[in-house]
Amino acid sequence: MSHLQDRLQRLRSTSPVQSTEKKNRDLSLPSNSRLVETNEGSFVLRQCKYSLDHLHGHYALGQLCEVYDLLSRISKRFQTLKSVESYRDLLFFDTETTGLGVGAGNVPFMIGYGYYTDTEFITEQLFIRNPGEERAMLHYFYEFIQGFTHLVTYNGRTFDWPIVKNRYVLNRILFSDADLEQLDLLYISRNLWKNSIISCRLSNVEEQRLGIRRHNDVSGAYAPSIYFQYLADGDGSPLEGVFLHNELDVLTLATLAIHLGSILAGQLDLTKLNTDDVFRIGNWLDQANLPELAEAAFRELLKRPAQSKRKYLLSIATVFKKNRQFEQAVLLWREAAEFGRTGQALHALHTLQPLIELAMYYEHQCKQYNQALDLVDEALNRAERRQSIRRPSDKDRLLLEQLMKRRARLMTKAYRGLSEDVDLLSF
Amino acid sequence: MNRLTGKTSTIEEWIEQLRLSPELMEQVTSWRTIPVRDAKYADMPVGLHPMIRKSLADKGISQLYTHQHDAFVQVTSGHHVVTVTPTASGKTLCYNLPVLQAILEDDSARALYLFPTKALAQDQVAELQEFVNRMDADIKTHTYDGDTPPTVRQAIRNAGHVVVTNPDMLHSAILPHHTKWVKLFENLQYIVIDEVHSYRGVFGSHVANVIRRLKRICKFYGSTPQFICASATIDNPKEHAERLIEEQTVLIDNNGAPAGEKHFVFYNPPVVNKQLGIRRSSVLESQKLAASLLKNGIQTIVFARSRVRVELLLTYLQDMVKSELGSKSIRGYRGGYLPKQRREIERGLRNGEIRGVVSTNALELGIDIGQLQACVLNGYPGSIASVWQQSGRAGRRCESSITFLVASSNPLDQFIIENPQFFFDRPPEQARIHPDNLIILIDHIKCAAYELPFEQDEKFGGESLMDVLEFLQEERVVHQVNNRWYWMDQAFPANHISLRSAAQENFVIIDVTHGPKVIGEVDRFTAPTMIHEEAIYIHEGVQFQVEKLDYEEKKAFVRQVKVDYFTDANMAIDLHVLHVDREREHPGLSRYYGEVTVNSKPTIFKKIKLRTHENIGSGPIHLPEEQLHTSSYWFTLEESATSGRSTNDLQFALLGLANVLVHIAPLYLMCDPMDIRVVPQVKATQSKKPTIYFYDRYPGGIGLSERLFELHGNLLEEAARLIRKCTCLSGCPACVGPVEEVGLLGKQHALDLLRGLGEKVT
Repeated sequence: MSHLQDRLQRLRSTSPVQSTEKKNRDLSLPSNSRLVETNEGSFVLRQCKYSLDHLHGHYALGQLCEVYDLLSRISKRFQTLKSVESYRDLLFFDTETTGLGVGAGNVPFMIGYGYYTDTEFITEQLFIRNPGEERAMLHYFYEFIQGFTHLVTYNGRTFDWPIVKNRYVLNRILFSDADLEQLDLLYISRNLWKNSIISCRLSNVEEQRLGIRRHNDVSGAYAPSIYFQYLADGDGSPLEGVFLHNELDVLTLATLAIHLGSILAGQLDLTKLNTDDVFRIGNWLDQANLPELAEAAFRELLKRPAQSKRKYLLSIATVFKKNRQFEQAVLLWREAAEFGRTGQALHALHTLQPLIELAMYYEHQCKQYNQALDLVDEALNRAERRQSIRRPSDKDRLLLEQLMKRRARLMTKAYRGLSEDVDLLSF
Repeated sequence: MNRLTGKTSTIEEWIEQLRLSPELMEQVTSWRTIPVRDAKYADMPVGLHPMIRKSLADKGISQLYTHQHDAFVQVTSGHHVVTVTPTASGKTLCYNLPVLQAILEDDSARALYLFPTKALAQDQVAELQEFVNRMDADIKTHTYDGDTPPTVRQAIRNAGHVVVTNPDMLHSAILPHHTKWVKLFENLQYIVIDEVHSYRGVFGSHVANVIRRLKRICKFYGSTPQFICASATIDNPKEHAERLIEEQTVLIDNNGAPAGEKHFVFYNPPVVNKQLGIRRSSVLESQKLAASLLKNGIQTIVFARSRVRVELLLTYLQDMVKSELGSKSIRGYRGGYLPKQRREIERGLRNGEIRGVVSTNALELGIDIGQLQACVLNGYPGSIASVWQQSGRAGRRCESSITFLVASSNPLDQFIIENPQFFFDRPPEQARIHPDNLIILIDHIKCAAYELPFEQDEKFGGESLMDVLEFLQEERVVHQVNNRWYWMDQAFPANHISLRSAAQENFVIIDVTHGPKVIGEVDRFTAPTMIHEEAIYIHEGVQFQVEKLDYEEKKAFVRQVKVDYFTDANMAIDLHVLHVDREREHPGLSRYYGEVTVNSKPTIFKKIKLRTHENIGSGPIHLPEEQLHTSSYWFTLEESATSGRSTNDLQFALLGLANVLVHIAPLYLMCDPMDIRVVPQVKATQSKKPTIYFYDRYPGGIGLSERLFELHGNLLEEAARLIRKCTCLSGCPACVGPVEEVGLLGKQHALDLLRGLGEKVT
């Protein structure tokens, strides 16, 4: 042993890991898989086919065919995004990597994806038996994705996809994804369920919203250590769990896309959902430029008991106002203002806003200044009543100041309106 | 002089006053005057881009200094260069000119600038940007560090011509994410490394490895950048730069910048007790000199060796001049201050609002604080190079400047102050690094593997890469396939590796006097002695007592107090030899170099009264033991050298000798005196022989002990000379240590021991 090796031995914190006898290096291939051999080398490809009436959770996979054309509205930038021409252009994509973070040393050892043909949903998983096989896999994958226009992922935009792109740079393989649109379902899922699901991980979403239950699932967090163990001892059997986990993730991506698509198509029965979900769906539909559906969702919400719908009234009214549907908005402001009349003085902070909104409406839309003045006075009354109960915050003071200004302005306008009828100057 | 106020109006007048005051001149052991240096100019280099000429002309520059000219010529003819220049000599043009030239000639060209600190990087970008603006060219210069907002990071990666960063950021953010920096690495033409002398010791050894990784990534993307390094004056700039970047360099040291007259005054505080060899406190003497300078309106910087001393001096000085200047005009500056506070102080110094600053060596680096007029060094900072650099903070082009070196009573200071030729006639120290320190090397091989798989025939450092990779394979962090080694671990290795040994484990100091508020931080190594419970921690001149030290969470909770003492902690050290690498026998002793483990544990602290510095009490410290695995040089004494001595006498002799050696050792190593430790044992744990150990205070060692092993003869010779020449009777803090520590005959015992080893002692 060289001197260096001696020193290395002394550095070791514990005795060296007894290197377990390496088993047959060739992974006894998992079910449904084959070895792909190319000029660049070989790797494992596992393929599973599902008929379009296969049920995964609440939906049959084939239901995507009815809603795919709306999916681009998942993105906030849908106005500029290419729309989905055919459900066959969608690639559902998820990787298993050796670590966290998007640094150069994080290797996707498994690239999983799913896609539709006219008759089937097919999942494929590319797996490298050692890092030396990566190059072959990357070449294969790049050629494969050429036919697709949209990438459907869950957190793929900032994690899985950049990592895969890194690998092309690292292997000096020319790569362009300029024609591939990203449909990352994480953002909209968080948007819809951030208040009702504790953590919007895919596994929580599928369980609580999509009716999917997994049995004996290998958590994705263990995938790296299972892979390292396989690299060390060559025993491929624990990997079966990782393959299955990744495959189910891909299927869930399809189910989630169907679920979101049904919402966009107005096919989801909102009466069974909790109030917060309905509100957030309404908001999303409004942003997705589907105002009729948004209104339908809000109308459903307004049927809910007073106690549960109360906190949404103002927000919904704001949406109506933005869309210049003032009649609906006024009704909601009135309803919200009522709570202030009957409720306790301490609640009055929330009840000032509807009064102010109403005042603005009468001032700017209807030019009914006296009406507006009455509302401002009521708001001032409430604000002062509250001040007698608790010490005013800076915010309160600001509000009060603004109300006074508004009042002064309305007085002028009302006076001017009056002077048009009666020439006061002649007195 | 103003007759009404007694104040001098210029620094020249102040210096004349000093010459005429006998009570001060009595303490001056040496006064050298370095004459005015005239500028040496060279013509603008042929081929210098017209836009650069214009930008220079707009700033009134029509000629270059010789070193700036030569740097441009050497760089543009393809050499790696290292420039050596004193403070304020226009060194930035040495690298900015060739870099801008390259970018003007080819817009795709890129440059990477490395500075040891964020503050220096920001200074530099401001200066470079100003130069570019005068050219009216579209050259983008950006800092890329922890403060860079995520929104602009992508733009910098793709479009920044000059990226200015620090080695830590390169290590943990840029290299591991090199795939995002393809544009930079494909087109990287120049790598500028400023302040290369600061990359020494552990930090430098890490940085050398980061540069190995950087070159590896450049090679991958097909670029072979040229290095432009800049250094302050050290003995071996070329050798040091070459070890750091592992390339042949051309040295440029023909400084052409002018300088005003410079007075260098060695000042030894008066002896107050001849028997005990005790001198007046150097802190008090430094304060006296600084106060006189400040009261006469002379902008002054005071350097002190430790944070505690900075705070002590600051308190004393603010107290003394507050009636005349106001306490805000004198500030402290040291590592534990928060960045915002530091920027404010730097600004105040530049615009003259702050008249005085007391600093640790934190201000030794090229942070822009303008040029001051006078400099007071409280104690020898540990290296000749540091003295020159600190003194370089004072000195404006058209007036004189003065630097005082005020000696403390420790042996190193006394040696220097009594032997000015040692300082003036000897080249400054060498900067050394040990990039192949196994622990550091392995850490960076891990990072490098994360960045790119290793190939069979690759080299990385001086040790066998294949052996290390096999070791890492056994540890299961890399995986070998067909002569390639791939990183295969979930961890992001750079996260666990800090280039500055203690940086990532700083202790935060929280003032709870008026609700919790973070006031500073302390590194892990100094924490046990500075912020143990009941310690008095001084920050910005205010005293705090540590109420609770949460060792696990690395937090110290302190409360403001007003007491008349400070605290000083003791460490108990146990040492065990693991392996002997080299050994030599001499008459009476054997010397060794090898690996050891050191267990250290703080035991008690002493309370020391302010101003009189008398011991007024003590208390225990309850903190866990720390273990260090490092390299060591030690020598054991044979029977023949120690016979006829009682154990007690021998103990005093060893202790005395160790006290001298620990102070001499840093003379030969350009290192912080705290980086090398000395432990005497009258009966060593294993050999049972009297032994003196030296060890590197860094895991794995950084080459200091090995160098001392080689210098063994010089060390003992120098020790004998120092003890011999000391004027005390029987031992004092300036040689073997005070009599309370080494006994009444300590000096004699140490000399006898050296005589037994064949050293000349009379």
